[in-house]
Amino acid sequence: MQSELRSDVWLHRGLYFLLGYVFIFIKILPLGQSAGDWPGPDLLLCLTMAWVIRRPDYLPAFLIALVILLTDLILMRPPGLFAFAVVLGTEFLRNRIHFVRELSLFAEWMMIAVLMMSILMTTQIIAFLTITPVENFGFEVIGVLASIAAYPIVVWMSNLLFKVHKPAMGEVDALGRRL
Amino acid sequence: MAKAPISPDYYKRPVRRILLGGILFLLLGVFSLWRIDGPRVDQFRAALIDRFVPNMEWAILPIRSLSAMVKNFQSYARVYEQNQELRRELQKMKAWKEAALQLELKNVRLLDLNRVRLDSQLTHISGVVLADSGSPFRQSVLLNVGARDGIQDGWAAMDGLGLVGRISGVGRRTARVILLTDSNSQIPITVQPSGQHAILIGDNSKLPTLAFLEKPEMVRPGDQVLSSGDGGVFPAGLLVGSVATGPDRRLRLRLSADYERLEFLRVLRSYAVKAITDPGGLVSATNLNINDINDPLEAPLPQTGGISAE
Repeated sequence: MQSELRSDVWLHRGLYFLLGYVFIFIKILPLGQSAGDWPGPDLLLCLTMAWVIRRPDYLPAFLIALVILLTDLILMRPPGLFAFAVVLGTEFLRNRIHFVRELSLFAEWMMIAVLMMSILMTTQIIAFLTITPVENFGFEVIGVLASIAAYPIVVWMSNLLFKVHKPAMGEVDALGRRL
Repeated sequence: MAKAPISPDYYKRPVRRILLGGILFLLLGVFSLWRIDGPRVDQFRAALIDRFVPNMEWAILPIRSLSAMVKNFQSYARVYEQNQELRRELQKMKAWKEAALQLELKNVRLLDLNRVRLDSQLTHISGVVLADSGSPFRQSVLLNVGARDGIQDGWAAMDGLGLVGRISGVGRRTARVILLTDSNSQIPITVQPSGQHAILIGDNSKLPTLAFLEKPEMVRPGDQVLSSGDGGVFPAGLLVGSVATGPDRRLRLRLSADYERLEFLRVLRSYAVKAITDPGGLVSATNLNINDINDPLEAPLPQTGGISAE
């Protein structure tokens, strides 16, 4: 029983890494994306947020940092900047996990919306301070709005496909502690 | 038991804090390293992509052909329209063919008169597009040719018709082409027939803008645009597109290359044009090989200011 639960955690960590890989793969498929298209949702960001709220033990900070840094590098973004902001954001959630967990899906959604906007603002401010060339701000906002819109769907899908949900009353981890 | 057992949580919190601080510090460190020494980090990035992307080729190819099949299927739906369209175009093409034949004859005669030798160094390597940039803010593609095939930064990439972009970032097996529509792309061009020089600046829209035109009133929509080779970084005389006016009434460029389906690209080998800096060398050197000068018009004229200063 004990080892089963522990392997479950590592299984989900591996799964997260794999999903990050698939996400990059889908993004860079040469399917005739053309200039001036509206940016789509950042599904990896939605997934990260959803899992951190539901099962923070699945996603330690180092794993999030690693996967997002990898996407930064491959998708030609400033390396480390977005990863930094995302790790900060998820730590914000992690430190308030007992509060966040009690929220209804709608309240959680609103909170994620604010958090995603703050992540965008953090990257923009750091980029501004370091005189890093930034993209069209309006486009970035559209991208974040798309991510916010996609969030409930990602939550639903991750519950359906990967069985990631908030721990039920009395659920315990491998060492027998309350989750 | 004399002492109360200490829960592992007692240590966990501060250790976690330190680890987290380390991770955040590391990420900011990577970012600042990139800001300070961009080329080195970008080299690392190119090497990483080089390892990562070609491994996905087995999956990219079937998905691409699948999407092509879907597109083709959609086009079956309007076969009749297309047929009519093609007939009309064929009619037009016949007229053009006639014109082209006459021009070719004329061209051959003129070349013969001039005894012009085309630059034999301008050969090309063909590559297949492996991947997109993956971000809506970056317009670039990844080719399956790299340093292994002799590709160098700054070379021009074309599809069958027109200029597509410039190589920027070379891995061992892959090379990245920054498309002309990317907001980092700026290349020197000339507008024909007025001969105006300008810079073509991408702004992440389908039609890049023309900037630094000396006399914009001499440029009309429909004028042909070629690369100019100013500054010696880019081969001259490659077809880029034709001038168009955007909805914001700025002069923009309609690209000749088919950006909707970039599949095979040609990378032109270009070598630095020898700059003529010594005014005496041209006149006195008897064994000067005329082929060393790619284009006499492009060579900078001897500077009179320099002579008077001596």
